[in-house]
Amino acid sequence: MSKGIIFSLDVLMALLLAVIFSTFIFFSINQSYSNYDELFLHKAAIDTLAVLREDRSLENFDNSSILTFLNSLPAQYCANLTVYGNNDAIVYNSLKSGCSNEGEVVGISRRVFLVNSTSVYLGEVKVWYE
Amino acid sequence: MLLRKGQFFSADIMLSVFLFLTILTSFFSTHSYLNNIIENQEVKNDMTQIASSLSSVLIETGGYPDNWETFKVSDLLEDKGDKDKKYVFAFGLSKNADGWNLHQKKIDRFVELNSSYDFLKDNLGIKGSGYEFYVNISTLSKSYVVGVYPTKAENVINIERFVLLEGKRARFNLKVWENE
Repeated sequence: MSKGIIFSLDVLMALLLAVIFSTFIFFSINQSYSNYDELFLHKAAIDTLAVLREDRSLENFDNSSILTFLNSLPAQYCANLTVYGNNDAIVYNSLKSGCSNEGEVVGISRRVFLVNSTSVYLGEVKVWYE
Repeated sequence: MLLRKGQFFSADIMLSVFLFLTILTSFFSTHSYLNNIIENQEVKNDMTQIASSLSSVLIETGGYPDNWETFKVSDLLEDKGDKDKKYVFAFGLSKNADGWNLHQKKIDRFVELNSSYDFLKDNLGIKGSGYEFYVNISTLSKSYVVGVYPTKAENVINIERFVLLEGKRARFNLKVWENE
């Protein structure tokens, strides 16, 4: 009478499948966390446009004031302000010092504003993590 | 009649019991681990939503009624019945409905209300179990603090906003945190 082998090929395959399945579930749950980075970046972008509009730096195209604001943002933030005129032509662009390429997650805010009550411009701010 | 005694605890049974217990233990420990992660994430989601909406209400609105800074703190707190008691349905710090330009008097009154932290916390909508808040509005020369700074905090949601205070650039920092 021969003894049976408990670890047959079937069992090994079943164990392998169980391990793969559990690992898949484990990692998919781990990766399904809510990510609020975009929300915070979006709020930073909204604030940037709102503050620059409120203190009139935007409508005066005050480069020094705009750059001072962008450079005073927290170190982990990069920001770029672009102002579009007629036919989507870029009339002004300012990037925070030390920043270059956009990150993977970007918060964007856009706002239309008037200059001298006649000319209409569109301001766009993009904020990302350095 | 052949009399052979069976061996109850054979190696096979021992091995299968060991495997069964291993699988059972790993199942329950994984279940408990994932439960903790999900529960923690739900608390963080809740706190983030509270912090996000609270920062927007404080910065982007003047509150309701928008002249709430003219009310005496004692009128807000004391139970005077419907006749004299003043109600503030939303605390907003902005000068007007445009938002982002904070009003010095509203900030002063907001800081004054810090002596009634629980009243303020309740009115700001921070109602989760063990949730606390901390607000710091700072300019280059001064800062205004309301709430409790997180010391023994399990979860802290930190929101940094950019505002004007009476026309001068300032930072608005809000932390919603969970007491350990």
